[in-house]
Amino acid sequence: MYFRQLFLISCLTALVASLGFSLYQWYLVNPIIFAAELFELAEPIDLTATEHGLEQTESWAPDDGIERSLYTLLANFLMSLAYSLLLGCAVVFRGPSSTLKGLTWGMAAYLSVFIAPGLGLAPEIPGMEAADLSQRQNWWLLTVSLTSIGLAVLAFSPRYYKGAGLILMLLPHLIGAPAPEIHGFSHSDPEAVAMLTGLWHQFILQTSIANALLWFIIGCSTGFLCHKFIDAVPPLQPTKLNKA
Amino acid sequence: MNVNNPASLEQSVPVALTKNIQLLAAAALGFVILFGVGFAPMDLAHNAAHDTRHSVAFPCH
Repeated sequence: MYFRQLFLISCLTALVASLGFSLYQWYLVNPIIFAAELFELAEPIDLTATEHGLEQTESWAPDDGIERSLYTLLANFLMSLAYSLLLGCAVVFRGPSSTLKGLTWGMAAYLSVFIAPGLGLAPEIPGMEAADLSQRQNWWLLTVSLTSIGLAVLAFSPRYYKGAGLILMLLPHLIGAPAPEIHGFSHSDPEAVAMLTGLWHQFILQTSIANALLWFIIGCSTGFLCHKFIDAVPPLQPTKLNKA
Repeated sequence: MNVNNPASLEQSVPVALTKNIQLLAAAALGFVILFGVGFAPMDLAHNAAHDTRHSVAFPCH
């Protein structure tokens, strides 16, 4: 009963959140990605590589335009669904929910899923030099886990242990994010590098706003719907049936 | 959950247990979907979710 309710709540939330997020992304984030990709394409292609294995190396990708936008919308929906499921579990586990509680959880999630890993690994546009992918993914997972556990300790533990929460949140930054040998853009033209750096700064600003919007909608909607469809419906208890 | 009522005391444990199991299952589903969208290393998943991965700052490329 909890599972079914949570799943339906998350589907509804994901529908609203992915539409809001996709609209913002479509007007203010995607143009930056597309502009950066133009620079990526303009770079000289290694001919020896393309002659040998174009068929093998080029895998399927959605066509630019409506197809690509639809796949992005689908990916946004699935991601919002996953986020809303996880947030809903946390809210319901802690007891009765409300819109305000959902919003608080949403903002905590924004801090631990976007801001904290972003401090070490800033959002990147295509074409940037970056460290090894699996190392970055590991650091990302470590940071998100430790920040969320740290925030939970800060919020729910007795006063004496709150310091431990702060230490947990600081730990991944003391370890340090994996950094590439040269950070920035490998483009040979200095003018292009200047333009790409400008795009990158815009991208960091716009993704910060877009993700805040995403978590705002997910938080409020999950909290509100959990209150309406989980708190309001008493769980089936055999004792009540016996009494009747 | 009504803990003061002795009649419901027996039942309250299984209800709490099934609640937690269901929450765990929902969270597990959330993690699986999130992995598929954000971390799956196949090119297919990467290309389809490319703009989403960049926009939410998942490590990409």
